[in-house]
Amino acid sequence: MFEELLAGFAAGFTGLFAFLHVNFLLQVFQPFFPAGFSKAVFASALTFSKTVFETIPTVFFIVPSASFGAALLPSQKLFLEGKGFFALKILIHSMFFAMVFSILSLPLVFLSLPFAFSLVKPVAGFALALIVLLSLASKERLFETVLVFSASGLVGLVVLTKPLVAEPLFPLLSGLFGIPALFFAFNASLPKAQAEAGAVKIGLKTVFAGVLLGAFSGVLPALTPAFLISMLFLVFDSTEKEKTFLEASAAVVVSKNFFDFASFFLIGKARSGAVAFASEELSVFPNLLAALIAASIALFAALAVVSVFSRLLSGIRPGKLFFVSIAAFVSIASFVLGGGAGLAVLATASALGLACGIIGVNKSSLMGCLIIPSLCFFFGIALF
Amino acid sequence: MEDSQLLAFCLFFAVLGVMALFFLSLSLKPVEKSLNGLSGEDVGKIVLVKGMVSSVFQGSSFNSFDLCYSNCVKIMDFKKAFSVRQGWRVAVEGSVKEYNGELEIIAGSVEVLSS
Repeated sequence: MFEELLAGFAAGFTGLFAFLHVNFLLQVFQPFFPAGFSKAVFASALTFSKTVFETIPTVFFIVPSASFGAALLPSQKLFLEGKGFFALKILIHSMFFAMVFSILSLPLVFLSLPFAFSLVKPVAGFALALIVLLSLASKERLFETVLVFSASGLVGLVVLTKPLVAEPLFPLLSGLFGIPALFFAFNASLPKAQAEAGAVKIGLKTVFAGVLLGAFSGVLPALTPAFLISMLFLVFDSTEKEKTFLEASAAVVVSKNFFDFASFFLIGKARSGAVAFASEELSVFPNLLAALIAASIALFAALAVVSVFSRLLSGIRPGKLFFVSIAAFVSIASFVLGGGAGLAVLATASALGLACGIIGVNKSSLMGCLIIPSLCFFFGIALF
Repeated sequence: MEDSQLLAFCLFFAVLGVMALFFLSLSLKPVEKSLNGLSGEDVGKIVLVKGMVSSVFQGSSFNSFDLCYSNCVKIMDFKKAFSVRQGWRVAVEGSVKEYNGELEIIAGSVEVLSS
């Protein structure tokens, strides 16, 4: 069991390459498993250590991950203001409290999740659609907002429902958010990076709310961490509330991954690739307990590593060469993941992201790329 | 919270978790049982049973065989990872499940004792 924990934790360093998805990594590593290797412990340790290490490319290299997705935007904004170190501290401190709250709320979720599953399932799609409509209606420049939301939704539908690219989220989110940010920052005069951020005071209520959101999202399919964060972003319009949004995002990611394992045991539905990978073992309670303990160990150990080595990154000062390097890296990674189709997705999404920036519409509208495909799934609509 | 406090708490909880995992691993050691000693109370437990292979079945999505001593229990191999032959004496470690009123074992590992 400890070999699996160490192996999963070490494999989590691949989070530094945000475009590598957990599902892909599990398939790569599986042939090397010896007989009797616990898939559940390995998958959970990998998932959680990778989630922590993904914070580094998300903040410092403006590269989105499947976990953090839309959290890229506020962390990107802070990084370009010279507060990248501050953004990283918010994320890792929030993840710490999120794991503590997740563990403490496990008995409550165990008792209430099956009931919540039967109650929410019939009306979830309608509730989500209503939240989306109300959020859009509250935005300024309604016509342009709806146009951008719909266009990004269309791109998302094509990219996420058709087998064009192995890891579609990476070129999609990089194009919509990463490349435009690099473009607009290229000629801007950026402040010097702040190496010290002081003590961070985390909003515990926000973290707890994020934990509950992530915990009960298991009652519904298609609610990935990236989707939940994009809903938060749409509702709270967090361009001015970066800290709150990052706290909530970190909490949602940690609790969603944590309770995906518990949800499978309780309601028999695998909500993530890691859980599906280890589903056979997770139907036995001691194995589930081992997976959850391994998850906690991997997360806390990874947080310790990041908190020690994060100072090495705090002095990163983005310049023209940095931006060009990141753009080249994203392009190469998109090509590796999907060939010409990956580059086409990147180019299309970049064009849309740039247009959004030029028009001056709030970037949260681009969340349509995740929200519309999920709503179509809920209502059983297949446009393509 | 200061970074040094975060580091201290993370290390503390990680060590606590390792201790918890250690004690859990002791309880997860398979219980050696005889085939005729298996009962409904063993459902969900990880057991180690020994016996002789009979009635090997190889399907498209799973393999199975009957493991017999004084009685027989079906051994399910969903990974299609184990290759056994009728007449072999094997030790099977796996979790006990109930299916259609019958006990069966989902094999985690199979060791050939004599072939």
